Amino acid sequence: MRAITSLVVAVLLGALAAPAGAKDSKDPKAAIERYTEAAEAFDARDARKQVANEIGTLRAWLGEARAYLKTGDDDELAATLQRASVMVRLIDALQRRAEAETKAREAHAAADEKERAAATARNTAYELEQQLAAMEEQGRKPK
Amino acid sequence: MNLSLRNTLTGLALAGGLWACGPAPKPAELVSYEQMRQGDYAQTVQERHPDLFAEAQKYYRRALEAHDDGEDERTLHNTRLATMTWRTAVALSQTKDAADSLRAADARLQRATEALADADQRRKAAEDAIARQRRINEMQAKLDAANQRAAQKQQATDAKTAVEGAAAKVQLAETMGGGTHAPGPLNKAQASLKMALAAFDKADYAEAARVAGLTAADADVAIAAAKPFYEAEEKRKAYDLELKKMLEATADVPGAEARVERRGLVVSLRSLFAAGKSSLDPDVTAPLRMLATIAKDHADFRLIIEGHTDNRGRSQRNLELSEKRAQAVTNYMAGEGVANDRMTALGKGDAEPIADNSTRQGRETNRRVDIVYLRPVVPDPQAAPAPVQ
Repeated sequence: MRAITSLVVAVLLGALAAPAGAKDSKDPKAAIERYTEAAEAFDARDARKQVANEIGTLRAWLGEARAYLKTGDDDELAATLQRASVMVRLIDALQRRAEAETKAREAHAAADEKERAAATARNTAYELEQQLAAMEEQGRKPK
Repeated sequence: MNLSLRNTLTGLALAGGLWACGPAPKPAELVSYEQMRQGDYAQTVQERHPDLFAEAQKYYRRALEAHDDGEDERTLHNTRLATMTWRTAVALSQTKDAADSLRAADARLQRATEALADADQRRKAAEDAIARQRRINEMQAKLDAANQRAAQKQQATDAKTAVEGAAAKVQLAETMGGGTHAPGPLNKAQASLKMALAAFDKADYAEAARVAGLTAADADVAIAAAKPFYEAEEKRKAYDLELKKMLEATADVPGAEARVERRGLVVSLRSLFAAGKSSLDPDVTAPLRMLATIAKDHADFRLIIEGHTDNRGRSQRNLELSEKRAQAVTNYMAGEGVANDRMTALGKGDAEPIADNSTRQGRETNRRVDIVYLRPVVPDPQAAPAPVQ
């Protein structure tokens, strides 16, 4: 599921590679739909609600954009879509960062665990080696 | 228009009202953007994402221009664009940091995995070695126990040998007359032998062996003191026994009369010579051959060959005749292989009759050759030191 939503976002971002501009102005309705889908995809990816505020803002702006679309307020519509476009890019970056940081934390946690296991194993090995040395010494003692 | 936007516009209107009094203050979001751009990490973000930085700065400049123009909505719009673009750059930069951190974590994980494998290998090796060493130690313990048992057994054997040896020496000392010649050491030896036997009965083998050694030493002293006497006595007994055997051997010698005297075995032969002659009659030499054999069989015995006559005629002549006859017998014996230096020829003449010369039979008895196998002289142990006390 997560992979699919990531793929959707990637496709959308491909379309949004550059901040909105003339393209959005030519077909604002389509732009609103793309950003709405992007918001849905972001929300699906945001299980930990790390970018909930940004997604909320994006949705609010898209709501405003729909209103401007209805009223024909083209300048406000263009400005709102421009902000939405930049927000989409920001949210994607934030989610990527969050995912990368999560992976890094998990990897460090795994490394911590492995290092603890290695330390424990080293201690065990050391204790066994000490035990062995004592047994060898015991074996060498003249009776 | 939402509430926050209205509040912002209200604020901007108020600010506009105050503008106549001086330059309007920057909106909080614009100030916030400027603050976000401060610090070392902002420099890093700028270097990593120059395009986004340039874009954010473009919006920022537009916001400043709009602010200067008193266009609050445009100011806010561009400030938001600048802020979002900058945050995007920061997020991407931090994503790279996270990716770097992930790689570092992976490297740590790799190292830790290798360390764990190494430690597991060491642990396994140590466990194997411990198992081996445990078996070795168990075997060693069994071996030690067996050796200890063997040592105890050997100690018991050694103690038994030592005590038996000491007892034998004490017995030997007693047999040799140690009670007479070394009463002190022998008494000590006898007393310590009892102690050694008691220690042995208590299985105190070390003590038994130690005391047995003292016993043996004391017994040795007693033996050494008694030995010359004992050996002399034994020698005398041996010679007595030998004389007895020699006497028995003479029973087969024709015409020989043998007897044991204090000086040794005396064998008297008669009719070896014609009257007045000193040359042996070849027909009567068989007894001499047999006596020569006895002499060779008993080499410790020196021989005195004595010639005797009766008392008829002159004594001087009798003496000379007896000497010649003794010499003739000696020569014959030498011819039979008896060493000359073992023999002494003596003429006794008529000086030592053994029968009455007034009768014919007595004179015949006195006319004889005595071959004396002299009892060997045993050294007198009385010359040794006084008894050891």
